[in-house]
Amino acid sequence: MTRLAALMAALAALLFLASLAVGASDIPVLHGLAALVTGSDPLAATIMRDIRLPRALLGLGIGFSLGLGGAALQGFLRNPLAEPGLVGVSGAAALGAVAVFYTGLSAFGGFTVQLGALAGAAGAVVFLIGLAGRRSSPMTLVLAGVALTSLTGALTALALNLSPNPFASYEIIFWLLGSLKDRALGDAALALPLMAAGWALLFACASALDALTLGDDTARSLGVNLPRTATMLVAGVALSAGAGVAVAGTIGFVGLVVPHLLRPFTDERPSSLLLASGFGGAALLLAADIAVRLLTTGRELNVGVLTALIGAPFFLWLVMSNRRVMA
Amino acid sequence: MSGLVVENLAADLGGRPVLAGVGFRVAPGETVALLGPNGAGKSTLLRCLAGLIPASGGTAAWEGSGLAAMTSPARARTLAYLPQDRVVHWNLAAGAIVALGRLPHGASAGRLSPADAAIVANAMETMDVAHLEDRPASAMSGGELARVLAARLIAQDTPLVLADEPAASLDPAHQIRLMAAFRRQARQGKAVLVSLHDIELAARWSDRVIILRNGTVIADGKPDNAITAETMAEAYGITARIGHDECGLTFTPLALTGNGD
Repeated sequence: MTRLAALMAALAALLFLASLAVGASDIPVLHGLAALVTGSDPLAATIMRDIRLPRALLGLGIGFSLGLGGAALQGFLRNPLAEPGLVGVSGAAALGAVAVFYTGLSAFGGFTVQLGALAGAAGAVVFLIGLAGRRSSPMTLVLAGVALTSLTGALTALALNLSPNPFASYEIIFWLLGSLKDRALGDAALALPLMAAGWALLFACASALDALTLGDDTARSLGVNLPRTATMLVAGVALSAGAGVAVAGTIGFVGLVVPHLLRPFTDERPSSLLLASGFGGAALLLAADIAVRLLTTGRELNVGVLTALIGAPFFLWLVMSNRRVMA
Repeated sequence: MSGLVVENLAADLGGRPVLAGVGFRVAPGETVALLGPNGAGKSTLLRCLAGLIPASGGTAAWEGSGLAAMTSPARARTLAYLPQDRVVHWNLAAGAIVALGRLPHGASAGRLSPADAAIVANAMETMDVAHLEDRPASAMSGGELARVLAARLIAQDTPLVLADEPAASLDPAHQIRLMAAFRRQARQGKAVLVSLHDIELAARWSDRVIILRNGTVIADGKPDNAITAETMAEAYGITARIGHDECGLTFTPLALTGNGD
């Protein structure tokens, strides 16, 4: 682990504890953790288990997925604008969830919405690999992803347009904004194993991403199997980011900003950015999720709104200040 | 069958035949220069040998095993390829770029074993870029970047070395250093095939010259035999003054053939 990655991991761990400590009821974090383990204080234990722990775990997992996925995609596409949303996986997962809301299947409860989103993400993988996986250049993947994002966006808009009742539209819109609020431990249990599988696939691409720094031809002459790398990458992003969308809706800008922010502190090899960017993403999302709980706006902001609200101007500032270096 | 053996090789680009019936050999220990006008098929030939585009006919084999049938990792330990365009997408330092040459040998570019680090340091010394080790790509001149990328090629340390116009944009001293490095690699038992546009450089620093025109080999032999008034007229459509001095062949292009001046 590089020093940067260790620093980000420590920051994420700290914010994870802070996330467990912040909430409507006043429970000291150590007392809450003790209650969780020993069951000494049933009320505190319930609050920790059912409200704060799922939220903190999902913040950690989703943030890590977004940061890692962004760093891996930027390395693969050699484009600093890439993020998990770019390849269309998030859009397809969101469409899958929206389809469940729209058809009223969500009334069955359980994990119907989450499963709908996962089905959407899986569909995106099949589409992307079918279209761009074989004999692919990274450019084909970008174009296929952009096409998929537009198409799923249009279909989501269509679902809103034709929505049978205002309540369904409201549910869809609220869900699309992205939030970690009111998730159950079952959500984390569903999402985290899928995410971990996705992370493993993305980390397995590390050397190929380094080789791609010298262009497609040199990378291939260094032994990189481009179609296989593209397949692993798409599957890895779909598993990790798709699972995140399935349980929390779409959360933007984390995957774009974090690799950007951390890259200058690495030796610029894509592989050195992966772990640091994962923990950095976790830290950023946990911090944003703590912030929405502390901000007293009458009603809690969705964390996806906050990340976009802060992320977009911040990204612009980053691009402006790096303009001379990047040109 | 020893070394690189190419037989009757053909390749298409976008449905247009670019190579047809190309056959030649490069033995271990040899430096062979690939000459020919723009569009003759030099880059296509090198890319085809490197497995980047499929051959439409014929075979290319290293020490008896077909290059096309090799897995990409096995090919990456058999041959190293330096493309013509010099791309470095992120702002890596020279040392990190050269270290990428060790990837096919199982090294992670972040943590090199002492043996890998020694090979990288030696390759950087060879291309005179050791002093650039910590300099990021964005702060290098075109010639410096070309030498760093050539050092990456050498660090891959494969028995067959393919380089596409590695001397372009190098100053005369570094052209000589580059060719001397290739020759030294050949002396260590490697086979080196390098495409060039500088005919004198090719003649003086290679053991053999292959001239391509319209996708076929029109001359293959020792520089003195391959570079003649006839082949220069046929390949490039030029007349030239070809002479000899104590260092070898001298070459001055004079005029276009069929053109009064």
